[in-house]
Amino acid sequence: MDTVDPKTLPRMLHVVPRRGKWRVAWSDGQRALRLIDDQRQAIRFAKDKAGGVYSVIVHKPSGFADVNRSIVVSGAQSSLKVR
Amino acid sequence: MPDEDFENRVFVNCPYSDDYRDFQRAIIFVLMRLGYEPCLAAQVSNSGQLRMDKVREQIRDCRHSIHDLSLVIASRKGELARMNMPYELGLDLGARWFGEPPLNSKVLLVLEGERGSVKKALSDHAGFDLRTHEGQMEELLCELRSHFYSHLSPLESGIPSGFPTLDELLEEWPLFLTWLQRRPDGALRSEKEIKAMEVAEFKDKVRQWLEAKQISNVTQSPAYDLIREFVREQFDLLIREAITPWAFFNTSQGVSFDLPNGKKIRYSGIEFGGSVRQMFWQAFLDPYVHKITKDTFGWTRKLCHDQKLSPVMPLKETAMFLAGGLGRCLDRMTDIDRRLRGRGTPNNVPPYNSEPERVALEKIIAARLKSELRLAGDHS
Repeated sequence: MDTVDPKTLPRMLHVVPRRGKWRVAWSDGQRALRLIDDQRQAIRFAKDKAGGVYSVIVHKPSGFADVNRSIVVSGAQSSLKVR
Repeated sequence: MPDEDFENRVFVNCPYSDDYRDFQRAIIFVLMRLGYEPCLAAQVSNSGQLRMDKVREQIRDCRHSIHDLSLVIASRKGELARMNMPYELGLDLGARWFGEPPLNSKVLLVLEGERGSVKKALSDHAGFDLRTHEGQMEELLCELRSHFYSHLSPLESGIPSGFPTLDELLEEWPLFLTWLQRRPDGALRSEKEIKAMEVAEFKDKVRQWLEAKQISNVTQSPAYDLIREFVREQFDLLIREAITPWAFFNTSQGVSFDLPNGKKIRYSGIEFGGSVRQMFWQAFLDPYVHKITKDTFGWTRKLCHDQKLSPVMPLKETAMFLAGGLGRCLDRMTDIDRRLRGRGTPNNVPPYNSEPERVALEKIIAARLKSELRLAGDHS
């Protein structure tokens, strides 16, 4: 299975279920941007934050990315990664 | 003295059905993330070997084992209960009770779906401490980590420095899956495709990801935390003193700054837009980033000199944290830019794409890092 070099993954926004809420965070972020009760609101917030520049990956409770809800864009990527 | 491989291997006795595949994948990921080597009968492809022979070998070769009995109970009338897991648990317990050292030191973790469910089906197993995951991924990750933490904690060697917190684990699992699901062209693979992967290939992917990520706790320098704290303070100050005041640009007070390069900025009574906005994005942050980059690398160099540390790794960590701090600044600027343009309704205007600024400003950090490393004698 072909995968990209993990070090070159572009910055993305993740919407992850956590303890009954939805956690919106950058892939390279240390802290959540926001914890939101409602999934739709969380996705709207993430899309808004990403502004069409970054991908928004919506995760299922299993951790897998929800292919139907995630929005993938190809954008510039950081050469210096945090974490 | 048992060998290290035996100590680190974990026999995973879990269902192989599709409805359990995501849990099986998560168990493999967590074990490898915690520094263990998961062993599953399915990872050995040899049609000439009996399944039970594989299981027997793995029970013999692994100090640890995980037995998930959550699917032992039939979920609907007429469905047969799956008895492989209790059968293999029995074999494992037999090895622990009657085996020669080191088999008699085996450590078992038995998982159940709902609290007390195993007791109903396997009453002879009553009295053993079981852990419950409630069929929830978060609970599974939590219980796995807790089990190994509890096992390691009383040992003389204690908890290894790279042992993740629960938050880190919960964060890393979806990030890993995102990477795995991402095709080289950027599109996402389906969950089904990942679940259909061979166990051996999945383990290779986990290994690749962990190596690339170089689980920072394991490879970080002794100065890691100090550098992170110093850089965070620098950027907190920059955001508070120089970026946040722009949020009041449209008020009567305007903005007034003396930039680190000696230039002065004074605006009041005008609209945010045109040349002002251009200056905000293209000229304002640059001198600050130059100054913070220079100061922070200088601070790291001095710290390494004072503490007699090799500077290479701390310098790389400095660059990494500077890039992270820069991202925070640009995120804050994007918010402010949107508020100023939106004039009370920021959601009505699209956010500014600060990616070109990020790339340009990261070049300042990268160039400085290159010079610092050359000075430190690292020519890689």
